[in-house]
Formats: sequence, structure tokens, C-alpha cells
Amino acid sequence: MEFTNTKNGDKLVVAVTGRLDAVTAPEFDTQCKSWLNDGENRIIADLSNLEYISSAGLRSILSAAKQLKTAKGEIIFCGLNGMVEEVFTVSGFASMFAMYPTLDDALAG
Amino acid sequence: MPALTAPAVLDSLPLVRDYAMSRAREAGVPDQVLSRLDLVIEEVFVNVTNHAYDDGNGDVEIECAPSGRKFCCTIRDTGSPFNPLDTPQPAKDQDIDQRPIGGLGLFFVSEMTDDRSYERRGDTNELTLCFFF
Repeated sequence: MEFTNTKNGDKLVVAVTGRLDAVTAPEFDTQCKSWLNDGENRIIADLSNLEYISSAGLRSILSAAKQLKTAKGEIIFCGLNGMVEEVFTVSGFASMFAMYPTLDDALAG
Repeated sequence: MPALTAPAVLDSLPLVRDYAMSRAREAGVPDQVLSRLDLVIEEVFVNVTNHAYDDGNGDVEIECAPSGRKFCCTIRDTGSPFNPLDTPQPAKDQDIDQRPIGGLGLFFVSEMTDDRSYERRGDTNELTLCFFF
């Protein structure tokens, strides 16, 4: 799994690629810690190149969302497709978070 | 195809996953079903590694049985008796603050399979998960 961070105004766009599973989920937790340490609390997670996510990945995402909310921020999502979109829908995460089809849509809010 | 036996530790996940995915590809399972299989295998395996063995020592066995347009995997462990299909539904209408972390893995196992059964046979938990395609 890889993360590519791009600053856009007061938002941090985080493109996540690869697999977010029980093995790699701790890397997501580490990323979340560094966002908070750097004072980044408005995160756009671009999942267009995320191939796979499991409950371990959702666990990390919800934990990050709770921490960002406590820090008066938020995490929103764009670009979900394939099994990642299915997992978000089946779990109810798709209705809990702001979701956008593309990064441009997410930036426009 | 013989069954695969691996230690019930997270490091075995890639091995177990590759085994199931290779058997499924050989059986002609289409991509959309493959990704569900991928997910379900991880959830079941991680659950066994976390909960089955009190002392952390034990194995998981996985066996795949393709037949026509049906693909089944049987996962066995000799840990504490546990029916992974008997788990509560997660509350899906809660917001970020209310929603508890966790409780989704075994929900996916039930939700993403077309047929499933659990049996305790002697000292063994035996879970069979099937996909139709």
C-alpha cells in the first residue's frame, strides 16, 4: 500500500493505492497520526486506485475519522470503485461519510 | 488438490489467500466473485488468528472444492468452539461518533457468500463457504 499526499488549500488529498488489509492497516493508522501531528485535519482520501479493503481497513478508517472529528476536522472520500465501493456500501460506511465520484467533485465539496 | 495447512498467525495470510485465489482462478471463478472470496478468506482467517487459540499456537487448514459453477472453501481449526455465522448484525445507521469500531469482519462473511455452514466436529471448527457463479 502506498500513500501520495498533495496539499490543496486547507485540504490534504491522500491518494491510497494497493491493498488496505489486516497486514497493511497499521500503515494507515501511522498516516493518520502524522496528519494530526502536522495539523492536517481536512482529509480527502482518493481511493480510485485502492484495489482491496477488508474490515481491518474499515476499522482504521473509522478510527481516523473519529480522531479527525475530535480535532474539528473530517475525512471525505472519492473515486471508490469495484469491491472497495461494494464494501463501503454493504458496511454502511457509504452513508456515514461524504462520498464523491471524482477528486474534482470532492475538492468542489 | 490437497488442503493447505498453515500456522494461525497473520504472517500466513498471503499464503492462505494465494492458495484459495489460485484454486478459484483455476476453476474459472469470475473477478467479481474472486474479490468477495479474497475478502471472506481474510476475514475468516484473521478471526481464527485472533480468537481460536488461547495460547496463540495452532493451525488453520483450508480446502477448496470447485464443482461446476459452485466454488466452496472449507476452513478448519482446532481452537475453542465458535460459530462465526452466529454473530449480530452491525448497527449501520449510526454516525461517526456513535458507531463502534469493529464487528464487520464476520458480517462480511455472511453477507458476501452465497451459501455457508458451520459444524463442530470433535475438536474441530469446520466452516464451509460457497460462491455461485
